[in-house]
Amino acid sequence: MAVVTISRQLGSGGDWIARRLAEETGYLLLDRPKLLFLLSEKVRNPGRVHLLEERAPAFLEHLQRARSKLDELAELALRELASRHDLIIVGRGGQVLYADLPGALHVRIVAPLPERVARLMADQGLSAEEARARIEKSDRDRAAFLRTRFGVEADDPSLYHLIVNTGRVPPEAAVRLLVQLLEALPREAEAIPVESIPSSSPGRAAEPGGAVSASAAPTTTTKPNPPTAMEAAARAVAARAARGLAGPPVLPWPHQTILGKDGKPVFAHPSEAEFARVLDFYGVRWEYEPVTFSLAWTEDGRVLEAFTPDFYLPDIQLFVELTTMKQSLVTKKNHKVRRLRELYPDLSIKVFYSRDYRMLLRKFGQDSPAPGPVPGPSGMAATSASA
Amino acid sequence: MRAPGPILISQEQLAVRNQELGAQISADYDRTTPVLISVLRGALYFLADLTREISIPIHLDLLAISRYGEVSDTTGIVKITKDLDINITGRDVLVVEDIIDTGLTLSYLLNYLERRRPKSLYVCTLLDNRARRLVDLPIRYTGFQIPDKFVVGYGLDWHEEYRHLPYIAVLEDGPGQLR
Repeated sequence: MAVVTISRQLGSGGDWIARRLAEETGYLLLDRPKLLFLLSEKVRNPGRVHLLEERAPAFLEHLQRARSKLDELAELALRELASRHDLIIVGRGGQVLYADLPGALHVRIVAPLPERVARLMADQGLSAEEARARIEKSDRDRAAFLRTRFGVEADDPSLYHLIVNTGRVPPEAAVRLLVQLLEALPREAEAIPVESIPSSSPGRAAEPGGAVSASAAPTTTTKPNPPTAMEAAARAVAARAARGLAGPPVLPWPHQTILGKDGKPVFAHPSEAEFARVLDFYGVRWEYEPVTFSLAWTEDGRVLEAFTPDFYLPDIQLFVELTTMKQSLVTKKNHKVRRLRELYPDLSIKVFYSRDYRMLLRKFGQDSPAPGPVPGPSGMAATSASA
Repeated sequence: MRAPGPILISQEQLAVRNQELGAQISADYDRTTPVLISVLRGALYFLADLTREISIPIHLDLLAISRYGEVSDTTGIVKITKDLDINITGRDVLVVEDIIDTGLTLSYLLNYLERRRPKSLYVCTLLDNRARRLVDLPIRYTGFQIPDKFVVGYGLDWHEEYRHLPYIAVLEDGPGQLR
């Protein structure tokens, strides 16, 4: 699908141009106030991320990793969206992210400083001094973002196909120009496969923090590259954005799984270890506690409540939460799952209640065949029924 | 024999439903000779009764696979312990199952059968418990949707007991028996 990236100086009219262009073309506009993944910068302060990290082994190092992972998730969401929709992306390094994308058009909107100050004063009722200070800060922040994240300078003209100076070209004329330009450019007929989109994210296979169990079952045929939990989360974020819903200010972030000496995750509960063994047995790949979703937050992006589903099964793109605990905790978990479904209606999550789990074990003959205590996970021998 | 719990599906209900399913399958496969495949051992009773309600020519074959938790299993991975005798490549295949709940076993099995390149591959299950479904499957025929209970009888067992009950009953959690 077509992608237009708009990089703009504060006060250049770039945001207005992007909005008008979206109206004229029907492209999906991804601007900062509307879309949650653009707001992931709100948790740039890693001090906020750690609040919900239940286990953080190497504290500072982990926080730094979590911070860059957030950016990666935002980028994943952008790529996912671009594979399905015509997009106008404002800021966020789109000109670099989609630098090599066939059909992408990279536009930079600039204006002389006096014009920018005047526009900001008129739009936001600021004094000249306030406007100038805000512009300086914005220029600094945006330049720093592009430099640290992508190693480029925002003002490098080679990043863009078109640079419009609204000091001379009125914004409305810029919109007309862009509409004509888009009509004149050859259109990509086919949807862009996600794989062909330039990626700076890590591979799909096992990665730290998302231990993917590689199925050893040779007879299982699975899709070659099913989406990882992070990618599934990004898709859910993208789907929410595509519905035009304003999002939570904090993106899902990768949970740090603790690995044991054998390289396998350390499970929080024996039932989780047993569940993983059942999945292994049937060649169903899984990730353990791969992603944390924010469920409640303050206005400034501080996370108040979060949820980390126990498992993600990439082959069936399903999150699974096991609840084998007491009822009071089940109620709390039910609330969290409900909230997660509200936030991300396109995310598949299944709750496995204590009862389901017990029946699963019974199905596999892992319960007690005779009066007496129920044995542990490695207990019983007899099995029969199918699952 | 005393029922282990309330009867969920009676012998009469099973017979009627088998007739209906048999007629439907006969109509759907009237231009071909399908291969009906069952997995040992739970589906045997259903397979025997269902096939006797089918009026078109069919071929039968059986598979056995290792089950999770079997003591003989040391690999931790499901294995085919009795393979098919019939070559199903290019054939219309209908897998006859007793019950599907998580779908894990059947999902594995369908992947296995698909690699033999049958012409078509569908599933007929007597019982469907969707509450615990993890994997979605191409179920074409369903005898009964059942509530989220543990059921025994008509081939379904609990530690090899209750298979030969002529009806399907709910195995209730008795004090001291199960938890």
